[in-house]
Amino acid sequence: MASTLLTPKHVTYIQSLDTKRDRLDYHLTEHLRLSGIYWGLTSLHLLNHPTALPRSETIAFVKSCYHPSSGGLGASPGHDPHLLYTLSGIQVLATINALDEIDCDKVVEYVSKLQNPDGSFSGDEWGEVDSRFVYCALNTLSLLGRLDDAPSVSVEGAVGFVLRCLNADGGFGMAPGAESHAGQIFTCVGALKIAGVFEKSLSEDQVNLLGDWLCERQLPNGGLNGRPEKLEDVCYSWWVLSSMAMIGRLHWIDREKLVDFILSCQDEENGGIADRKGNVADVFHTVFGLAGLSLLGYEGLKEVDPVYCMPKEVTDKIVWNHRKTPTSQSL
Amino acid sequence: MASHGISRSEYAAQSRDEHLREKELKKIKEYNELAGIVQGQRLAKEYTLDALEGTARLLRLNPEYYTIWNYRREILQQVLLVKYSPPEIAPSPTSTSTETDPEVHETEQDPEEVTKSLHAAYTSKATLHLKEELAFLLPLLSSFPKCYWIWNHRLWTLQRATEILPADKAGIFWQEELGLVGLMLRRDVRNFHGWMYRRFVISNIESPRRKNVSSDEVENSSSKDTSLVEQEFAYTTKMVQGIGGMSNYSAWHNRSKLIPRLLSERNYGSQERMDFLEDELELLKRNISTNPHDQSLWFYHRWLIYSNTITPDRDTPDAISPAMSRGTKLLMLAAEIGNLQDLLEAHAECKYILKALVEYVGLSQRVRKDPKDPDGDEDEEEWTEDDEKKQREDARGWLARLISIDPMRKGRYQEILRGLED
Ligand SMILES: [Zn+2]
Repeated sequence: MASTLLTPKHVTYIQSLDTKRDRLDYHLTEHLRLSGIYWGLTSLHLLNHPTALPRSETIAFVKSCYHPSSGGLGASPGHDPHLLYTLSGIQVLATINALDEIDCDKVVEYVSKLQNPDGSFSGDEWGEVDSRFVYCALNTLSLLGRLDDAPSVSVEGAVGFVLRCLNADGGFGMAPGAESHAGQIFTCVGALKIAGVFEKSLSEDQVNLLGDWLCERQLPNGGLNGRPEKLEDVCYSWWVLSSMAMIGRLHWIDREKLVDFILSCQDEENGGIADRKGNVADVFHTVFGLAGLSLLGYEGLKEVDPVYCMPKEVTDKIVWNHRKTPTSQSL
Repeated sequence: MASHGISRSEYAAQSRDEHLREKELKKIKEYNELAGIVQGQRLAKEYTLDALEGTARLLRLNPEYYTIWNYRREILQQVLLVKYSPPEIAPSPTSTSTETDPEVHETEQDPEEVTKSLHAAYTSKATLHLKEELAFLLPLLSSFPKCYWIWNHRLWTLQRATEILPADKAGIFWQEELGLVGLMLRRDVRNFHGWMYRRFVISNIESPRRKNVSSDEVENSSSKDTSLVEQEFAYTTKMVQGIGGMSNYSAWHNRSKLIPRLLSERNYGSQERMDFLEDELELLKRNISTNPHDQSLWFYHRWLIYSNTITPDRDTPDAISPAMSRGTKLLMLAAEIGNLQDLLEAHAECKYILKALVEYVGLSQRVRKDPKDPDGDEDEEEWTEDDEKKQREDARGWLARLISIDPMRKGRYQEILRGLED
């Protein structure tokens, strides 16, 4: 079992992702491709290999996912626009400082149109509502520097919707009334942080309840699960951990044990990180494993922003440094 | 690209097996050919039954291909699930001038009757197509119960029923859906898509609507006559016991969400609310004493205690008994702390008991700081500084034990401990 981070293997692993066209999963996951680029690119940045993916090809791919008629981005060329992939595309461009490659006004327009009268956002024109999409919307707008400057978006309404997803156990669900879930907590707390209203929205009691719910996710093997009575998983470890970082309760879990758990999920032979020890690695768990290690202060990794899951130096430059109140310092 | 639970060794063995590799390459070819055809048809804006069948084949291979679900809905909207538009019935040219023509008189139909029977024919055809669509989704949902897009599409189909069918006919679809959700939840009592979907179906039965809005708007708008809150509450009573005695966080959660509405619909006064709270606490006491390590129970217990003791500084309208006096709150807390201390005798190493004790002692200290009730008829026990000291001492002891039996979370316990010092 690996007890250190296998950086060179992970870099090679990510670089080789696009060469696996002889495997069925490569084709079956085309609907995730643009997010895959974001996961891979962020991994490489955290690993201090920011240029390991060719910049011009990356930009070209993002642009090939863009729909000029609506302003949204799809997962791959020929795939419909969706907020999930619009965010991924903007995150990629923001990370490599290439936001001027795309018509940002049009993207803002796309995002704006998806807000519903109750403040929530739909994922696309078909209308699915989920608190995750509020995060996608606010995140995208803030990366574009348009959070306070998107004419038809009501940040207040979005915040109101997120707060209606808050549960008595301190967590958040995918819609009002829905059970708390770590992924949803990450997006809801993140949305409130991006809107700059987290501190005034939750009472000390509520933050403590949330912190308690989150720290109870750590299981004896060090990994974290996403809901009570579920198995540990590297991706959930990130969503729980980043939420704990956002509310300043990172010290409520055992860091060492979590570090060991994430390291144990590495594929020592081919690189990459899996959901659990001994399983097949993928780029999704790779980025969340690395981001988790970064939050835990693992040596040699670039600092990650728990709100954005992007390199902190990038979000500082394009988001936090422009804020009147330096929200990032309260993290 | 995002896989869960696939063993590396099995995957590696598959990769080495020549025969399997060949099969995989063949599958890739077939899949990509099919995907190419379907995407080509979409680009050509082909809205035909043939194209619809193509999407079905592709989605069975890959239900995560969201764009194809979109295409499928476009086809359905244009071909099988078209909105009804009454035909323009041109006034019969003969109707005014042919009084004398016996033939016409016999065959001529009342235009209203014609419209009616056309609409009936439309309704039965549309009903059939909606049923077919739901039947197509059922096996997919069974094989991929966590795929968002399938649940979405199913919801879309039902909403389409509301849009294109008369209200009574659409209502049948939603009613039947409740049966399916019940089945899905019996298979996986924690599937949160299932629970979410159930709430959505319920709110649609309670107040049918035409547009996809978030569920809380509906919760507030449904009227009492159509409310299913009693039925749903009974459902959680059954489900909290779990299937085969398994605990069920989701069911407890749902119960906590239903109670405020239940009580307001029952028009409960303060005594009835107090009784209700006592019954819930009793139910918990029984459950916890048989299974003190079940965290779902503790979550619910804490909700009961918290929401009924802390005067909310934010609007949290979920207290069962909001009118409790300071004295009653203190009595309730003292009773719970007493129960827990008894329980601790039998389960000295149960961290949940210890955590609850620490929290409830903290809560009673806070309640004690509340101003005394103005009418002064508090049935509060004497509370001295010594009692206070003793309780803090107990709390320190419990926290020390927590740190030793649950060291992973010692940071949290130490923080509470420090709070006790000042
Ligand atoms: Zn995972």
